[in-house]
Order: sequence, then structure tokens, then C-alpha cells
Amino acid sequence: MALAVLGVVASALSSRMGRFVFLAPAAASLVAAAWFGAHGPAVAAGAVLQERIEWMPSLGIAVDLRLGALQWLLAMVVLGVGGLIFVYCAWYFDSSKLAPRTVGLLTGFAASMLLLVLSDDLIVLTVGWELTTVFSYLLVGLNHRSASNRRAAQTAFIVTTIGGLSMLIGIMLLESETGTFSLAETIADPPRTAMAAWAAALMLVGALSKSAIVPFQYWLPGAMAAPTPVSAFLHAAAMVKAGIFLVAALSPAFVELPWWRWGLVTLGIVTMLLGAVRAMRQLDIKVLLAHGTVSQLGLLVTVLGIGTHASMQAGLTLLAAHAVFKAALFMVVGAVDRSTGTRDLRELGGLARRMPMAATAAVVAAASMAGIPPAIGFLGKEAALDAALADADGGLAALGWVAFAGIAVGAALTVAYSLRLVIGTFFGALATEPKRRSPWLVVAPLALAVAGLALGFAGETMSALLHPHVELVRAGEEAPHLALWHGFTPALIASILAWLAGTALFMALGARRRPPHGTDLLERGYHAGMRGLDRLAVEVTGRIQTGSLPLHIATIMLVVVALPGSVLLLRVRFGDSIRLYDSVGQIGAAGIIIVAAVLATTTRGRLKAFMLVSVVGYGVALLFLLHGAPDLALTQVLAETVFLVVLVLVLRRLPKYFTDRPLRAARWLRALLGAAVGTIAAAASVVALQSRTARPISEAFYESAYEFGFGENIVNVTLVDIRVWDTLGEVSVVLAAATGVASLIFVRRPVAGSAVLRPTPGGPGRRTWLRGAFADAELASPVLEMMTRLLFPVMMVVSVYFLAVGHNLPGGGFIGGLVAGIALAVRYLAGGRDELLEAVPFDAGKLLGAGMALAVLGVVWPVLIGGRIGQSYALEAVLPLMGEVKLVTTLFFDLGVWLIIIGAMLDFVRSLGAGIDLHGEQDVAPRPEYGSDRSLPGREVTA
Amino acid sequence: MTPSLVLAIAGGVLIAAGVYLVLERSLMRILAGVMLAGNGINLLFLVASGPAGLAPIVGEPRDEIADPLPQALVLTAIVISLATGALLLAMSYRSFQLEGHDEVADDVEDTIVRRRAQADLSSEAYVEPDSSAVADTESGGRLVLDEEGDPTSADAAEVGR
Repeated sequence: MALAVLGVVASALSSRMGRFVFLAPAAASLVAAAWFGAHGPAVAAGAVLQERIEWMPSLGIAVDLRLGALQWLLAMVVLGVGGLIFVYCAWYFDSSKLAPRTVGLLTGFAASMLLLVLSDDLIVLTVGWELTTVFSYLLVGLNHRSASNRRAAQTAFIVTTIGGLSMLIGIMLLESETGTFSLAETIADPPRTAMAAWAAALMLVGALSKSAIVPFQYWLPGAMAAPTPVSAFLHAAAMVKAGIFLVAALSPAFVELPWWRWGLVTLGIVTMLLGAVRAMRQLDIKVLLAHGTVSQLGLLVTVLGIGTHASMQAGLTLLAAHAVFKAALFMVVGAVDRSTGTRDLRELGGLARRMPMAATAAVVAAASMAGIPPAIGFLGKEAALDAALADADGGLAALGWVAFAGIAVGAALTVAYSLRLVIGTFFGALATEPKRRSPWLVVAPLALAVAGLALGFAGETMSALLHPHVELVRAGEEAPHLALWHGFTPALIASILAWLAGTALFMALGARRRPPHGTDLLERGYHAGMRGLDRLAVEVTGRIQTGSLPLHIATIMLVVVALPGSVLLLRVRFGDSIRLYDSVGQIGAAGIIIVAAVLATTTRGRLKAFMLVSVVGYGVALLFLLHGAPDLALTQVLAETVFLVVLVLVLRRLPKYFTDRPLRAARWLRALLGAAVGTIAAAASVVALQSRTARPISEAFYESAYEFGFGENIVNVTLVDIRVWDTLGEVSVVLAAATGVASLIFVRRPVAGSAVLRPTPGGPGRRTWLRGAFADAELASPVLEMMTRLLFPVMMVVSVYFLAVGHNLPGGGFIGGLVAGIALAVRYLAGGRDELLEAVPFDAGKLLGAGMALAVLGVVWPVLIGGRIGQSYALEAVLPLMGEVKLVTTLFFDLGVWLIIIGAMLDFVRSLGAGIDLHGEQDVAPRPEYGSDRSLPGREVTA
Repeated sequence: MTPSLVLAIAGGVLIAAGVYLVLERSLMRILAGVMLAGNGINLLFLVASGPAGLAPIVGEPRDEIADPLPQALVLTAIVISLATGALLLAMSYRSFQLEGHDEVADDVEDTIVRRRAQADLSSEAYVEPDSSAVADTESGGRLVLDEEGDPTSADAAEVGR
């Protein structure tokens, strides 16, 4: 089984080999089919092959593959018929115009279909089910430039997905009753509760939508927008059988539900007759076949719905028969379409002489469809009529007769549209001369047609193969063995009558060439529903989403005040255990912060406001330190400093004052809202701690930091080991933000960005402390240059020191990276962008990328040596001179963090410093107007 | 455990000031608000982590250290605030460069949707299923000649790449 999936994946990758690439999955499928075929005798003997891979053990979900008789039949259909369709594809598609994704999608579909039929776990089955839906959507919409194709794909997708969701709910309900997701166990011991009946009904909705049974039938004819081999595979042989498969699989468990038999038989007959009547009216022979498929699926549901031994055997035989003959017919239609360029019955006729092989395949396959001996279609239909009659004799008289009559009428109509197809296309006067011929195109349909004929003589073997599943149904008498000749039975009489009636019907109506008119009521209903949904979305969005940012945020904040706030006010009692302060310093720092924050909200000066914000930042750092968090204090001070530098660099180009907004009333409302939110947040944090009952999870960190993380700085060990996934996500955010800053400044990167990385020609041209110093001596400050020359190496050493000791002392990748960032900023301030280029002569993206790669590798690598993701190891060695040295492997992760932070800082300084300088030189930067709160916009960056 | 009132008040004031500024339309003031509120939330983390203590480093007395987990959370929050702050700053600069100011206007797409709602129209993405679509699948093969999923001739160049 794994072999099939493997072959499928390999071929999906090599989609550039031209059309013959289809032969690879064809070979894989056929080999796998042979493998399954070889297991046939064992399956017939009742053996069950199983393979189990745990997936989500905690939820009881496993990839549990199980090969019983039913699964074997479906797998043979998917792989055998599918393999031949792949062969056909190799000659059907043109290499030059073949969309590369076609082969990948088709093989992906084959794999997911196999997963669907082989899985015993209902959740995994659903996964396969939904995957086939997705692949069907993509394949129907293969030509995505046509609006009607897109809509057909969407309709098919939505209808089957709604069914799939209903099925998933059903599965969940069922699991709550049985306690297992296993299909086999559910069937072995079916629950009899009302809840289980609901579950069965919901799952049935999924099955009916997938198999295009009324009221869901309208998606299938639309899906004919797909290429013909796709239609043959998905919408005739395999995918639409998934629903039938589910009905067959669930029948043994639920057939005794009061509505099961009547519901299925009624819907089946309606679908069968509706599809057949529609098929008679079509002019496009492919769409004719599609309606024929709808009709045949209705027949399958009818037969399986009878729910006895005999009907199960008949239904499965018909399933195999339908897969074989319908795929063959579709492929013949594709061949006709390929050679004549049309599928319109008005332009077709008399092709038998020009395409004898195709005509033979079509006649044989259509004979099977019409149920003419000795084809397998006849075998199945006779068995179905027999089964219905046996029921009529037994306890289910009314149901049996209804089914019998329905199947007989359906058979007559089937004969009529089969004749219409074959005679209209291949006999009569020649209408369109075939333009190109490909003998290879006929191989696969011919093989299938012959197989259909041969299977007709293999009734005995079929009975034996299907027996293990048939006997699961606990109703009806022992099924009679399939055979071509049972004697002169009522079923045979009904068949003969159906042939005669069908031929007569064809004589009367078959020559009509009126285009079909009118639309499907159900389809119209579907479209009306979709339109209503869209209108509702527009109305709701139009009312709720006003597009005003302050209004949206205010709404969110109001909800915060209204919901958690009112709960806090009404339901929660404040405890009386509260400390006023931890230390006197805390009061001082908090006082400064509060004053600065309030002033920051009222000031109009841009620089002043941000200076006050910085005061708050440093004050918070002081509070961190007083609280016993040196790492935090260090990080906060460094981050605040970097931000201040970057901020001042940008403020050079912005107006001195904020815009003054005149709405006084709104200002008071905002202040009120802000105060309310702040009060609630503070009160909530106090109450949360007072009502805490559990012990902090971090109490164990004290031991585990050293035992698992091999470090003494618990905060750092938490970052790089205990919560390493968090940290990985957070540095990704930093990376994204840095890239965003760079892209906002260097809008046209290749032009403007590279100028930053190009040194100004000539260099400073004077003796300086720095090689990249300003050329203009007016700008340069010799003291700053000298200090930079001396300070930069020292700061970098400090940065590396923080990185190295971070595991045991305050420090780490974040702090080290920020120190390096300040060092870079100093280089920039002293010498401008040339000096920054001297410091880092390459793009910041390289640092970010290398850091990210290192960080991910640092998390994942233990898997390679058999550890867990994120596991740490300590390497200890005794070196001469240095004594005992311990290297903890998380250092590599921290190194990645360090690189990312340096890269981000470099991006900030280079974009907001050097990039804006460059804008100024190119005259594209905004110019603040004197005494105004506006700027003159810069020209658009063009070069 | 007992919370520290001073820290909670400082955090609350910062958040209040931050919310007040975030409700502005000027991006720079929003930036200041985000930074203030971010600092305030970090302070509330400290409140939630219990009493002040010694630095959480193995070797210090176990019962006297501060809770390390909130510290780890806050540490990354500081760095992320710095990164988002720089991004907002760049956005504000870009807005000045293009418009001469940095005020956030009402969303254009939202306005369009509102107008469509008033005019009782469906969304722009919705395509009416017209009668020609039915002809595509139900009448002759002529109309769907390029159904095979091969791109039409106009697209061949694109696929050839």
C-alpha cells in the first residue's frame, strides 16, 4: 500500500517530462493493482489485511488501513481502472499544452481515493474524502480562465463539502455512542440509539452529496468542464463511488433503521429516472454520459438500499460494472472529441467506418450499460431485479415491488440513451470527418470493454470475492451465486421487456436534436442560496465595517469594558491581601512613569512626546531591575536606546508638531475610555493574582533548568529550551518586521536598495579615524570618529560575551544582538552609510536568513540523532589552559537569535538612517513645512 | 499571593494613556500609544508574577527568586515591541513621503462595500449564473472545445515557461 502512495508522490514531482509522464503513475497503479489482485483469494476466504500507523494516539485516531472484501473491490477499481486511465492520458494530452499540475493532481487524487477506501478509521476516511473533493475542485477548474468552469468547480466543491461536513458531524456523533472511530468495530457492534440514527442520517447526507443523488445531483453534469480523462476517473469510476462505498459500508450496521430502506430506494429511483430522462435530451455526448452516470448512481443506491444479502451482492457487482463500462465510454467520447473536434450529436454520425476500434469498444461498453448479455452489466442488473423480487416475496413486499418496477423502468431508459449515444455517434451518415487519429487512445477503453465482457462469465468468482462483505448484512436469504443464466425467471422477462421498451423509446425520440432547455429547479435553488449568502455578507459587512480605524478600536475597547469589566465589577470580590509597594525605589520609578505617560498624551511636540515615551521606557527598565529581573532591565534599556536612535533619525524629516485635532468632546470620550480600560486591566491583574490557587508552573523550572537545559540563568533556559517554539515564532515576527521596514523604505529594491550598498566613490579623501567617514569634513566629528574606532570593537566583544554567558548569567542572544545593534548605530552616526557599509559589507537579509536557518536547525537537529525536537545536550571537555569547558547545544539556537536580532537592527539603521539619507539626496524625502503640522510629500521614488 | 499595588497602578495608567493615543488617527501618536500600552502590559506581567525577588539564577536561594516564566514572556515582548515600533515608524515615514501627513483615512474597500450594501448589490466577487453558463455544459461540444484543461492558445506561452 505504501508502494502505491510512494509511486504516486514520485511521479507528482517529475511533472516536467511531457505527456509520457503519465506512464509512471500508470505503471505504479497497475503494479499495485496486481498486488491487490494477488491478495484477492485471501480476501475471498474472509481474511482481513491490516496495517496501523499511530497518528494522534491521544484522540484515538490512527491511520488504520484495512483490506476487506469491499475495500478490495474499490481499491481494484481505483488502481485498475485508474491505471488504464493514466495510460490513456499519456496520449490524450498534448505535451506542449499540458498544464504541469494535471499529472500531479490526478496522482494525488488516486492516492487520496485509496486512503479513503482503505482507511478503517473514520476520521482518516474523512481526510481522504475531503482530499478527493479538493482534487476534484482543482481538476474541474483546471482551465481557470473560464468563468463557467470556475463556477462549475465551485458548485461541485461546495455541494460535496457541505455533505462532507455533515458526514464529519455524523462521525463525531457516532463516536460519542460507540467510543471508537473504527468502521469495522462499529459494524461489528452497531449502536441502536436515537443518537446513532441521527449520526447515520448525517453520514448518509455526505454519501448522497458525494454520489450526486437527488437533491444534490446537479453538480455532476457541471463538473464535466473537466478534461475527459478526469471525468472518466473522478466523475465516473472513482470519486462518485465514494458515497456508494459509504452506503455499502454502513448498510450492515444501519439497515434496520425504519427510514433507511425506504429513504434510499425512493431517492435512488428518483435520481435514476431523472438522470435517464435528462440523458435522453442531451446533445453533448459527454454531458449525456454524465446524466447517465447520475442515473446509474441512483440505480446503485436503490439496489444497495434494499438491504439484503442478494441486493448487496448485486449492488457491488453493478458498482464494478459501472466503473468499467462508464470509464470506457468516457474515454471513447474523449477519443471522438480528439479526432473530430466536436461532441455535438448534431455534428456526429457514421464514425464506425472511420474509427472501427473505438466503435467496437463503445458498442461493447454500451451493451454492458444497457444490460445486454453476456456483459457484466447484465449480470448485475439481473441480480438486482432478482434481489428486489426476493424482497417482494419476503417481508418487504411493497418496497420490493417499488424497487423492482423502478429498476425495470430505469433499465428501459438506459437502453434508450445507450442507443442514442452509440447510434448517434457511430452509425448513420458520416457528419464530420475525423481529422487526426491516435490508435493508442483506443487501447485503454478497449481493454476495459473486453474486461467488462470477460467479467460477465466470472459470476462465480465474483460471488466468492464479494461474499465476506455480503454476509455482513443480516437480512434476507443467502444470496444466489451470480450467473448469466438462471433460467426463465421474472427478472429475465423484465429485462427483455426493458430492451423492447428502450428500443421503442429510442425509435420514437432518439432522433431528436433539440437543444435542452430549462434549468434544474434544485440547481436554481442552490444559486439563489449562494446569492442570498453573498448579499447577507455585503449587508453585514457594510453595516459593521465602517472602515474608520479609531471607531473599530473603540468598539473593541468598549467590549473590553462592557464584558470583562462588568463581570469584574459585579461578580468578583477583591481580596484584602495586597502590598502597597515592594521597595521605596519602586514608588519613585512608578511616579516618574505616571507623570511622563500623562504628559506624553497631552503634548503637541513630536520629539517631546517621544522623549517622554522613552522616559517611561527607562523607568519601566528600572522597575524590572527592582523586581529582580536583570535580563528584562538590560533588554529594555538596550531596546529603548536603539529605538530612540532610530526615531530621531526619522524625525529629522517630519514636522515638529502633531496634527492638532479640534474635536474636544471626542477627546474627553477617548480619555474616559482609556481610563476605563486601564482601570479594568490593572484591577484584573490584581484580582487574578489574589484568586490564584494553583502553584506556578515555573516552580519546577529551578530544577529542570539545570537538569534538562544545563544552564543556570532560568530565564534564558526558558527562552532557548523550555519554551523554544515560542521563541522561534517570536524571532520570526522580528524577521518579518525588519523585512517590512526595509521594503517600506526601499520600495524599488534593486535600484534604491543597492545604492545604499554602494560606497560613495572617492572615500573621505582626508586622514580620519574611519575608512567610511563623511567626505564632507563639515559633517564629520573627529571626536566621535575616534570614539567609534575605539568603542566598536569593545562593544562587539561585549555583545559576544553576553551571547556566550547568557546561559548562566544575565545575557543571551537577544541582549547580545541589541548591543551589537547599538554598536552598528554608532558606526552609522559617526560616518554615515559608507561607514555602515564598512562595518557590514552585505545585505541585512543574509544575516536574517542565516540566523533563521541556524535557529530552526538548532531546534530540529536532535531528531537526526534520535532525540526529541528541542532537546538539549551538554558537551563537556577538559581543554589545556582553560580547564573544564561546557558547551550546551542550545547555544546554536541562541546564536541564530543573535544573528536575527543583529540583522533586524542593521535593517532598521540602514533603512531608517541610510535609506532616508539617500531619499534626501535624491530629493524624494518629505520636507517638513515651517510652522505647520504637514510636510510636502516627496516625489515618488523612481530611481 | 499578594499583588503589588504600585506596579498595578503604574501599569493601568500606562495602558490608559496608550489606549487614549491609539484612538487617534495620526500614525505617530498611535505608535506612541502602542509603546506606552506595551510597557504597561509588561508591568502587569510583573504584577501577576508575584512578589519581587532575587534574579532567577540557579545558585540563588530557591525561595527568594522572582518567577522566571513571566520574565521570559516579557523579554521577547520587548524585542517584538521594538520591531513593530520600527515598522510603524517606517509606515508613518512612508505616509509622509506619499501624502505629506500620516493620518489613517477611512478604508476605501469598506466604503465600496457599504455603498454596495446601500444599493442592494451583491459583492464584486460574485458572478451571476447567467444563461450562457448553462449552454456551456449542456449544449454542444463546440462551446467547450478547449475544455480539456489545456490552457487556451492565449495561455500556451504562460504554461511554456
